[in-house]
Amino acid sequence: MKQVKAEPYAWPYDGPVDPSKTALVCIDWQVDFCGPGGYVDTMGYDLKLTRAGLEPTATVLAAARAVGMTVVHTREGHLPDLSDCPPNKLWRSRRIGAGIGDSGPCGRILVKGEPGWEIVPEVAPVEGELVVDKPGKGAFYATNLDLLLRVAGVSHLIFTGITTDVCVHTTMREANDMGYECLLLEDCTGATDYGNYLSALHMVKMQGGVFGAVAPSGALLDALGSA
Amino acid sequence: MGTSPYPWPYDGDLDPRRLALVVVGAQGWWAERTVDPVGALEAVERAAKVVRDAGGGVVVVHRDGAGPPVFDGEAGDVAVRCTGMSGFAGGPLDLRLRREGLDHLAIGGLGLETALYSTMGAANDRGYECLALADAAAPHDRAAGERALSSITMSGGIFGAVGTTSDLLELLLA
Repeated sequence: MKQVKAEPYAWPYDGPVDPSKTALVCIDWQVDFCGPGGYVDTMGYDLKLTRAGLEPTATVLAAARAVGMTVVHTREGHLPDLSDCPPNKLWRSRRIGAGIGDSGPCGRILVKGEPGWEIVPEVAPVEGELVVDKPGKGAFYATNLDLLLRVAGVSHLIFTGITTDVCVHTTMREANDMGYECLLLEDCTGATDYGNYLSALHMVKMQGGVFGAVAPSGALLDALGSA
Repeated sequence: MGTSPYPWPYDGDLDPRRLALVVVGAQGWWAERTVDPVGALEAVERAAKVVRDAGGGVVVVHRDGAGPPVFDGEAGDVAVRCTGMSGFAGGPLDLRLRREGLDHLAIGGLGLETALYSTMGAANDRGYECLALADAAAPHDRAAGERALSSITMSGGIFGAVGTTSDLLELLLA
């Protein structure tokens, strides 16, 4: 194992990648965010942007599993009665024509248990992996993710997922504030706007790595010896 | 003019007693690393005066270890500490906002892409109705700041809305 050739510093800061204390965190690879007929598609955004990272993420997942890294998958969604959906979030979604809880081609939008809420098959969890359901953008708020990571002995997080500027950034920022050492894989993420995606990568690297570091997935594979 | 992407707040007429001006990043670390911090802080001062006069709260968040304050607030304002880029990290911000009954947040300060964006994302997840004050928020670089504002307005206002101190004044004086 080696350090990952990342920007703005070789990741992690404290030496070679140690799979026993590192988790691969896959954010919201759900039909609602990257599948036809889901929430993002219903809002009219280009699915190519949010699907772009699927293939490299599948490769990284296989490598992480091979070295025994902890793998976490997150899903954004609400209870069927929407009792865990803040009223302003519901209002905004309806206003843009993709109301949370409304019926669409993939079932009720952003509702737990519906087809649109499922993780897409390309990067689906396998037996034994952690799956965290969250009501918001950040995966630490109102969830047991921090506890799960502590029990697993994890202090280093590698992020894939969608969308870069919203759920990935919010989660990575929460993690960084809590002291986790974070890496974002630039080809394993995407946003609803390409310029905002590029800027979100830039923001991680500002001020010497204010939220951690950024690398292409190939650099991680190289560090793991699985390239 | 007007807030984007929707007329803020979502729930109709703004009740100033439920409004907080939340000031983040107003310390040396950000003042040394942002574009025109003085201009942003002048806008924060203007907003703070109007919010206080209207009966709302001014909440100033200072991060441990991030240098001397460059905006202190006044007697009667709420001062809280935090330990992260988000004002909600490692401190009593959520508790104090709830205790004061403040659930509509106008957010300004220094570090648009850092402190403000982190705080607004965390606030939004907690159900707060948020407005980013673009002219009262100093970016680390202008292009990234514009992108941060763009991200906020995607998907119908993914973290809330973006406006200016003038928009806020109009709402309070309406």
